Amino acid sequence: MTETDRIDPAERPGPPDSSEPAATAGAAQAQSQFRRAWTRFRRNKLALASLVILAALIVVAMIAPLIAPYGFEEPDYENTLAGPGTAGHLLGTDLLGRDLLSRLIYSLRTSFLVGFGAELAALLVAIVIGLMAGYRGGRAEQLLMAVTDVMFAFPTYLFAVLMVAVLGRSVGAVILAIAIASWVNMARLTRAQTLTLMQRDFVEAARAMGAPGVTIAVRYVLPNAVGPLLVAVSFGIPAAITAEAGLALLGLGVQPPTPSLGGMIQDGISYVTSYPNMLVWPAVMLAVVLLAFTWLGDGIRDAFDTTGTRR
Amino acid sequence: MTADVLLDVQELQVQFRTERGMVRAVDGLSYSVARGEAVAVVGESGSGKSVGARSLLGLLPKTASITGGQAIFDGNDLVGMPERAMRAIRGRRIGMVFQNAMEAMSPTITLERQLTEHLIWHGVCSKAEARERAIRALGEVGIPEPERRIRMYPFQLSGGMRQRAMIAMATAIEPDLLIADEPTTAVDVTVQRQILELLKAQKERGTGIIMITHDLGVARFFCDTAVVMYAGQVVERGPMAEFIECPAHPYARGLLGSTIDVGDRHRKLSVIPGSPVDVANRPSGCPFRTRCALADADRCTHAQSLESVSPGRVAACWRSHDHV
Repeated sequence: MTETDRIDPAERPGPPDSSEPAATAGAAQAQSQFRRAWTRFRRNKLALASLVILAALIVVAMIAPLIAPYGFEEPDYENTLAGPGTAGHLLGTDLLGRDLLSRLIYSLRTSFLVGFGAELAALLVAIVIGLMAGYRGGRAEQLLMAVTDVMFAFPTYLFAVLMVAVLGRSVGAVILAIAIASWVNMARLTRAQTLTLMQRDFVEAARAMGAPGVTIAVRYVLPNAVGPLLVAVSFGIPAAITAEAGLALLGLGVQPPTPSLGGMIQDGISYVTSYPNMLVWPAVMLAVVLLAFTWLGDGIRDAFDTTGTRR
Repeated sequence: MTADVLLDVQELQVQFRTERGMVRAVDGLSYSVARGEAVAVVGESGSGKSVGARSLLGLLPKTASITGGQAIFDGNDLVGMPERAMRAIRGRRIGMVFQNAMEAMSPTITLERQLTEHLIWHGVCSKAEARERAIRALGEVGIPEPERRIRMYPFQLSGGMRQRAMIAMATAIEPDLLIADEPTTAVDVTVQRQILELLKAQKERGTGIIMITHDLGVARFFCDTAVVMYAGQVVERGPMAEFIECPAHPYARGLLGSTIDVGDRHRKLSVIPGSPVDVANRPSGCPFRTRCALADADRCTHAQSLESVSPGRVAACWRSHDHV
């Protein structure tokens, strides 16, 4: 994935060499597959806007303690259940007088942590097992297939519930629960990609050059599967955030008082008729995050989709 | 057998597992390659020429396996060789040039990595030296500004340059034997010539070459020996010059007759009637008899063995003497 930074943009080919016109024409536009994908991605304004919004929200989540006006469990007993616009509490407060804006900012932090953490963990496991299953077959494939069968017997969500019951409700446990519930599909995707790519001549060429199996899998197969995997991740992160919200609604999300979007929604539901703002802010925030991820994912998919047409 | 025989293939058999049972894709392939010798393996699509060569390096699909014969390379049998030993030969002692360089190079890897990685994993030289060698090899195959182009991705090169880069990839390590699988089929004629010249130069350096092609015009360019395959079997084998002069086997004659000769526009191109035999459903006796103008109902239904037609030359047809 460091392909992009290995190429200096200034190193673009010079004036066309008359004997080899095709070479320079292709080179002038693009370098690595990531650069080409990025060029296409940039033209998709919706996806680009989503990326900007998500990046901004991620920054907000990362620097939460610096910008949140209050701590997430800092009560203001003078102003409980305050409406939006109350002095000192832009979005209002909850039952205990905790500042909703601050809690929302910290919620983002938890939700992103769960989303990225669970997806990253799932991705790592999925890549290793998927590659082994696709490339070698054998034990890894049997394991993957057996686990897949078990997972299909359970609804993914129910599985996450069970995992939380076993592992507890710390942020780490919730991440682990969601990762365990979601790595299988990603591993199957990796395996399918591996099987397809192994039919390609360059894999055979690498074998003909004497490449060891691991080298072929990691250097020749995996980089060519990055596009689809990246798309899967961009849809997997919001799925993990949603999963956490779903767990929270059942009272199985991240342990309070640590706020998460799901947890805040759950708190808000009880007061929806009298104090709807407790529900509206986290719900809107969740919707924005999910929508942005969806558009981002679409953009990534389109950006990598046309790679094949250049061949 | 002279002392500098590099590869000696005897009675090689390759079978594929298919829904219709075991299919003999290669059925008794024999030939030898000496240092500095170029052997052309010619035949139509599906004649087993490519499978036969790939099986030497153990590059068969999972459904295929070598079921008989031997291939002695430098004193060791390639057939049944353990994977680890085979890996030390692949790319190091025996190089391979593929038909389509675009497909044979990973789009996510720069030429530099493509050309140097195997030098490093075969322990031939250090990374810096590998880079030097790769640049030199690119220069040798006539790629201008190799220092700059080595940083490019395969799709940034023209078709001809890519094909030449692939030859550089196979030859930078100076293998003893080079297998070229239809190296000129996917490039246009102006490039074809350059590619052939490069392979010829390799041969003159003492590299043995197995040239797989369906084009006799390409085969005769620098190859010393012709091996004609039909339906997985060798139907004729002998020195290229004599073979071009007067092919002994009717199939080989048909093949030669259907080769385009640009210099002679009065000559009629002939066509071999019918289509290549289905190896899963092989006729008894000579596999070519269903398309052969000279087929004789009595004689051709018996298996034809390779008989000597002149010194150094064999053909699998009872009428081959008629034509030599």
